[in-house]
Amino acid sequence: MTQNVKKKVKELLESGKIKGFLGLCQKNGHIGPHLFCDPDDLESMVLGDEERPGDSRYPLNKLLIHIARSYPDETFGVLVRGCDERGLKTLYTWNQLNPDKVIPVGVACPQELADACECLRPYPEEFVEGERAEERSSASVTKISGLDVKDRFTSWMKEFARCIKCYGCRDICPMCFCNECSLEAEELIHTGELPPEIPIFHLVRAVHMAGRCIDCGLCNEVCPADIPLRTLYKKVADIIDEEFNYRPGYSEGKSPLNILGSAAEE
Amino acid sequence: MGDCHYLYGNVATEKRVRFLKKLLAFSGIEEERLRCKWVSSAEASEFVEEMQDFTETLRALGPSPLKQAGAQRAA
Amino acid sequence: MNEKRKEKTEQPDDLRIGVFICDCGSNIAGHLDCSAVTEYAASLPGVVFAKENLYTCSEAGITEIQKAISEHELNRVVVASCSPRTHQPLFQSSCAEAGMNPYLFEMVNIRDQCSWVHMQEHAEATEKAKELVRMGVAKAAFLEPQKDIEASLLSRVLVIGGGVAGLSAAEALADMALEVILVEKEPKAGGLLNQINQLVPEGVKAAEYVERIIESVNSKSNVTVHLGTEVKAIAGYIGNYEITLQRGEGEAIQEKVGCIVVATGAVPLEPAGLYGYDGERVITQMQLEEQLLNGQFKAQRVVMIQCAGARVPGREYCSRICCMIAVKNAALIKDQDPEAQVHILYRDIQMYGTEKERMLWDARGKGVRFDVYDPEKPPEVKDGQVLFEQPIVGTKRQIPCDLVVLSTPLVAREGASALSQLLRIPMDQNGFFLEAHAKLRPLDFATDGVFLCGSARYPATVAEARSQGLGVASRVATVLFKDKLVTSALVAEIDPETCVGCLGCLDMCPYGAIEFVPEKGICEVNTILCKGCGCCAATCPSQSATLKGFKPKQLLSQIRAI
Ligand SMILES: Cc1cc2nc3c(=O)[nH]c(=O)nc-3n(C[C@H](O)[C@H](O)[C@H](O)COP(=O)(O)OP(=O)(O)OC[C@H]3O[C@@H](n4cnc5c(N)ncnc54)[C@H](O)[C@@H]3O)c2cc1C
Ligand code: SF4
Ligand code: SF4
Repeated sequence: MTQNVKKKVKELLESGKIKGFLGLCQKNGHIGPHLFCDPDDLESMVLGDEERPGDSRYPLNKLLIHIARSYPDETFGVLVRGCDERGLKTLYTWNQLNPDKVIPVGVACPQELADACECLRPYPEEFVEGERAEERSSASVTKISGLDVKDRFTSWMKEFARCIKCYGCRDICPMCFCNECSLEAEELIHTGELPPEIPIFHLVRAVHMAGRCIDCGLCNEVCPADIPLRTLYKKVADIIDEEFNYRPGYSEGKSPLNILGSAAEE
Repeated sequence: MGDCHYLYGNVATEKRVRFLKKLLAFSGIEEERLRCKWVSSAEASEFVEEMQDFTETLRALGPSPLKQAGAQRAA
Repeated sequence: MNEKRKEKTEQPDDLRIGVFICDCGSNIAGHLDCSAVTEYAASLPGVVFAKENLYTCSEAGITEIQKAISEHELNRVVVASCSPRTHQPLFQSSCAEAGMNPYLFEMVNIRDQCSWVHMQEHAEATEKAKELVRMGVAKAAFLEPQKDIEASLLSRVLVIGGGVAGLSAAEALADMALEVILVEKEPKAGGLLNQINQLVPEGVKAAEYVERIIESVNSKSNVTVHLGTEVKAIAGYIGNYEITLQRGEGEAIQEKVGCIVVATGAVPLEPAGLYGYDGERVITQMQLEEQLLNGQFKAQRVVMIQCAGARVPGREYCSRICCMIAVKNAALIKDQDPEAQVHILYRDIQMYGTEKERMLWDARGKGVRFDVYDPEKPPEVKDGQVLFEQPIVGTKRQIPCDLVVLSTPLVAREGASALSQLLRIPMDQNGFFLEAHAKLRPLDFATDGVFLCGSARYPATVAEARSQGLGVASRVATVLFKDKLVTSALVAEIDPETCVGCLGCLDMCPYGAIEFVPEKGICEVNTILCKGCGCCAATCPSQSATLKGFKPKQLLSQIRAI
């Protein structure tokens, strides 16, 4: 089922439209990111599962930022799911990638994944592989919202208490493109110290996700302590949408927190 | 609003506060613990009223859950 | 606090902080225990010297600070006294004189925040003063020396608008030997005065009055007047503006100036749809001025209606000068023909100042009739009569008349918002330009190097417009009569090492001080444009943008000292 993607990538590479294609490959039984540069060497390409767009996912557009920085004049192709496309769009507004130098090749996620992700849009605008799964809203957010305020605190504290401060959530996050991270700023966080200061550590990160998080859920997946970070950031995105009618990756333009807003426009 | 000494600083603040109140609520910290009001230097009585009212609100809410969390940590 | 934590918040080495606690006579010492605060200050970490002064800002107090800096080798000074707004510059420059970097100075306000607001609570006020001093000392520990920012200055001024305000500014600026470029969009300078008959309280013909100033301005070799010209583009900042002027369809003119004066005035409201306004039997004060000027005025029975289109929903403000204009014209009509009947219907009479008060009484003496109307039941103009109801008594009155004159407010000019965008200067809800501070900086804009005068700010009389014009000239002089521009070093900076060029800060800056530099892939702050508001610092996700003097470390050390 990777045929369509392979065909498309081969075309792009042969025509010289792209210098390389950032996708996934399977080597020694493992799936991982790979930059395909040779049109005749696409054998190992996979879509996150052996046969179809599966659940092995990587922050490909985060890797693309680094590749693009090293080769600023080249154009690259990149494999995108719905969330990756939202990520690209958001990274364009944050000036981290140049839309003229990126050619996305889309795949749609299977329904199981859309369900597990509670994904609002489990497919990119255009895709060459997979089928359009149904959108899902977030039951996990609704569940927490339904709790009494004290129980909400207790339940989050229970989750956060497992944090081993590995910074995995940040490191995998395609929207975390800063060189200097507030989670390592001595003034804000007790650095180099365990256990982490909860809930501050996680709330600082949540604030930084406002107007940025595109709900890919990689943080949740990578967290060794299984903290439901995605639920927290889903809520962050909901708030920004409710208050300012903006949802990163879905809406156009910059985050409302990064423009002066109404009064200045008058 | 809009009368900020730095032109639009308070517009930016207002946005952040709106977001933060809801985030706090979702995290289980009563949003009433955060309050943002604009009181000019000529409105002394409004300021006093606001502060007294806020103090009352906080007293009624009791100690912050964050404080309790901190105390447990230290123990 | 655990060990590691302590290490991180530990103060820099070699700290030698001096703290000065001011009694302010009895203003502070009368309501809290300054000696106890001083004793407490001496015990704080890093403090090597603490002293109570009767008046720290007096000659004696300043000498004491300077002596302590040299004797005790102080490298930080904290003064706990009154408002930094008024006294910080004095203390800072005194520290500088004694050889300490002025940015290592910190001020604590124990007057407004302790002795004033807690006047009856001696013990609590003392405790609070100690807390505030502790916070000040905590921040002082992390202060960093800074160098003032310097830039060159062009001794040239652009004046936009050739009404009495702009002309007066231009005249005075030229007399101070500054080069002036005056831009007037109409083919003739003079503004509204060109259409006005006679001026009160001056008692001269408006045209003659303004003509004298125009001649004076024209006679100066260091003034260039561009008539029929508008400003098309403005770039740069205080000291170094680049201006593009456009005269009609002609070629654009480029100019460079150091400061800009906005004197674009205002216009009387055209009262379409109000009180049957038709320009013939129902006219405005401005039209009446023209009739009086041309000798066309013939009416025998005149009713003037005040606040026509003013102080109503959507235009809430009082235009201040219309009462004076009505009283002026009513008295003139009476002077021409004592038999004429003139009735003024008003809500409140705004005749401020002794001169105008006298005009009002004179007009009454001449037989001008005044009646109050209720804004809820405004007068009606019908079939050659004005109908209105006298408030309180409720009597309905009819005044027969052959001319109704509406006193309409001055309103912002159409082009005001375009100019506001061009110059990045704010307007109030009525479209008038907004000064930096109504009391402290009435002729300045918040944007440095741009000033305002005359009706562009708010409806003004000629005397006010002229004195504001002269005032603006002196404000400009305070900037341009220096060899170079020195501005506070407390501006934002962006760390080029850590900035990721995400543009997060770019659109947050209200002053347009941030620019993206594509070659470097990062954002940079223009330190002259930056006003140090901190919007960028609050937005930058990577903590690359910070505000000098208000870095996270400095603020948090202060907060954690509470
Ligand atoms: C009916 C009437 C009677 C009055 N009688 C009296 C009186 O007796 N006594 C008294 O003290 N006051 C009187 N006034 C008030 C007087 O007119 C004002 O005080 C005076 O006009 C204010 O001068 P100014 O320079 O601020 O504005 P203006 O006179 O409005 O002049 C502004 C100038 O700027 C020009 N301009 C505007 N925009 C631009 C632009 N973008 N570029 C270039 N040029 C521009 C305009 O063309 C105009 O020439 C009267 C006003 C009215 C309406
Ligand atoms: S501190 Fe304020 S004025 Fe200065 S660059 Fe930052 S946002 Fe602009
Ligand atoms: S917000 Fe921070 S990282 Fe982004 S461009 Fe501005 S200074 Fe650089």
